[in-house]
Amino acid sequence: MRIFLFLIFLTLSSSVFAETFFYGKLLGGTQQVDKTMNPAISMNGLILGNWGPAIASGKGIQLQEIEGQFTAAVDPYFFANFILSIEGATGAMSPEEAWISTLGLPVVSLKIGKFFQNFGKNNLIHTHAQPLIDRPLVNQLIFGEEAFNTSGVQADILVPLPWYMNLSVAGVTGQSTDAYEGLREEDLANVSRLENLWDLTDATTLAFGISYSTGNNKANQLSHYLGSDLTIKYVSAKGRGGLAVVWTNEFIQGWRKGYMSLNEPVWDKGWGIYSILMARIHPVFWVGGRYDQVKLTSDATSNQTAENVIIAYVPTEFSSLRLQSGLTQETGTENRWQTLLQLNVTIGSHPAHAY
Amino acid sequence: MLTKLFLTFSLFGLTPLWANLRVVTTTEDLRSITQILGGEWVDVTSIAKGTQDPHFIEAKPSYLVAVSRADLLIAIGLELESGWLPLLIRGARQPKLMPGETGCLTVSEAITPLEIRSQADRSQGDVHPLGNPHFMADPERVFLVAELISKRLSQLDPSHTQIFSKNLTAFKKQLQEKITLWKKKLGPYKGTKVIGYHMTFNYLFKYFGFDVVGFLEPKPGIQPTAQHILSLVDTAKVQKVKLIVVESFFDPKPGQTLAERTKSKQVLIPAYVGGDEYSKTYFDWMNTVVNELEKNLK
Repeated sequence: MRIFLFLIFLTLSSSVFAETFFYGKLLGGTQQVDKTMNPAISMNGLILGNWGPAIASGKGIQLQEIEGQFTAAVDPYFFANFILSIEGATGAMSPEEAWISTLGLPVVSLKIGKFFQNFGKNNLIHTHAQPLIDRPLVNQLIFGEEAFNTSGVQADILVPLPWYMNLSVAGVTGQSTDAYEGLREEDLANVSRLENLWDLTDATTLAFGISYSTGNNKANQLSHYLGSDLTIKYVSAKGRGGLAVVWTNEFIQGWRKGYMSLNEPVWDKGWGIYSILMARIHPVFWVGGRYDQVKLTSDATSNQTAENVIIAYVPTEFSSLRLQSGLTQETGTENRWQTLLQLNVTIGSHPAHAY
Repeated sequence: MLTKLFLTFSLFGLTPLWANLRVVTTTEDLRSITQILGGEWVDVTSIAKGTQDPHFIEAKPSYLVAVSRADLLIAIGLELESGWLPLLIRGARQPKLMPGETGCLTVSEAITPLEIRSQADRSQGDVHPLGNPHFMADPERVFLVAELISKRLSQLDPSHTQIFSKNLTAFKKQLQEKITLWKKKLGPYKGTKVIGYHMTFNYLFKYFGFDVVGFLEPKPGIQPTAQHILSLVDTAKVQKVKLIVVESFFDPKPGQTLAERTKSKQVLIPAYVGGDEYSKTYFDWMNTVVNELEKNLK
């Protein structure tokens, strides 16, 4: 009996001690302070219905992806952002992005880790934030379904001009990306981007960017990628839910020297464009479409074009239901119709939205 | 020569010693009050226009340029700007504007907010667990906000402390006089039942003793639905609602429908300074709000 009472006492006293130790006077804080120091955590889930050609996440209704994001200032000098992704098809978990950036430097910010490379407009956009459900063809075919995403160091310089001009220069290792597959460990590829944005009116902006990347490829010769993009965006200054129109255009060209000698079914020259027009026509409805054209050349030339339309129901910032349908035409193959339905939900901390 | 030197300094993001303090505020009401307190010694710009809902501002890179050149960034806080301001602060690459630094001021620190929710989740809509951030419509809380801003201006520009202090005294005197006037105008309508659209005017309603019996939004941040409006028809009839108060940047149709089905009136009022052509300063804006309410209650 005495042992039993002793155990109850020990259990109660230890939990009281733990509560006091972690949240109380010993740390000079409160539970609220402790929570404040936690990173901002949010989770995004994508459920995809696919009626058409098989894609990575499979046919029918499937879990497409789960993404967990943890962000916080590390200390007065650094900011950390870790994004873990679970692929719906395989259940494989991998760090989609994991980077640290500086907070304490004026004009320049440095970023180190694994991240989507600052090349073009679409490459930076995560799966759940894509304007249409799938990435544009040119991004898929030139940089792969996982986009141009690898490890490296990036410097971003806010050029002191009356308008927004950002110069981004990065040195990256290419092992985990389609852009430089087979890059040797000691090699660094570079990625540069110059982006400008002008306010045409209070409600309308014009953004223009050029991007360039070069590095050794698996044929031990140089690959080059060149891109340019133009975006015109109108968001009604009236307030939330007003008319918004976004027109995005991007061109990417690639040269992969030495690939013809690899005796593999790979392209060595290619280019592609896409044009996306999206409009918010009602406070909770977006409609839009995308035109794609890609031409890849190796022994033979492959031409692909695609037209897609989409309607999205966006009741809040935290959920959306999107229906996309499109036709892809490729030389030498049958035309492919595809219909996608995606439920997109975010829970957790309020995300800040990139422009 | 001085102009050339100034432009040269500005081009590289530096502030010459003789220049005014460059202040960026997130909302127009903060801009107006900071301009009154700083007088000719501050240059103030606001990110959100008075016609815009500050919850949903787009983080335009051009705003980032303005923030990067500021000596002081003034925000409301309580997560009003959480969807866009963090990107602008980080993108501006100015260590002096990081939260906690002298160049970054969150005015909600000065006040005790209403509607703090210790238990909150998104099923309650787009709620602000730390409290309702629309406190600038409460003149008593604006006294505290003005004191905080004035103190920070003095910290950043000690050479003009006396001027800032004098401006603060004048501002408080004028605000006190206005409060007497506004109370006289709306005093007779204390206890009036009203329906709002969003929770923007909750501080104002509480301050002047109005009784809020519902909102056109079924939950904060959620668009009004036909079903919800129908349920409000019964509420408005039973509670004898006099006014439906709608921020001028929202769709007036749901409020109009409700007003037509009940014996109430809809009044559209600017939610912020700059929300209409008459509301150029904080005092103008509050005058407009009070006058519109009084006119529609007579």
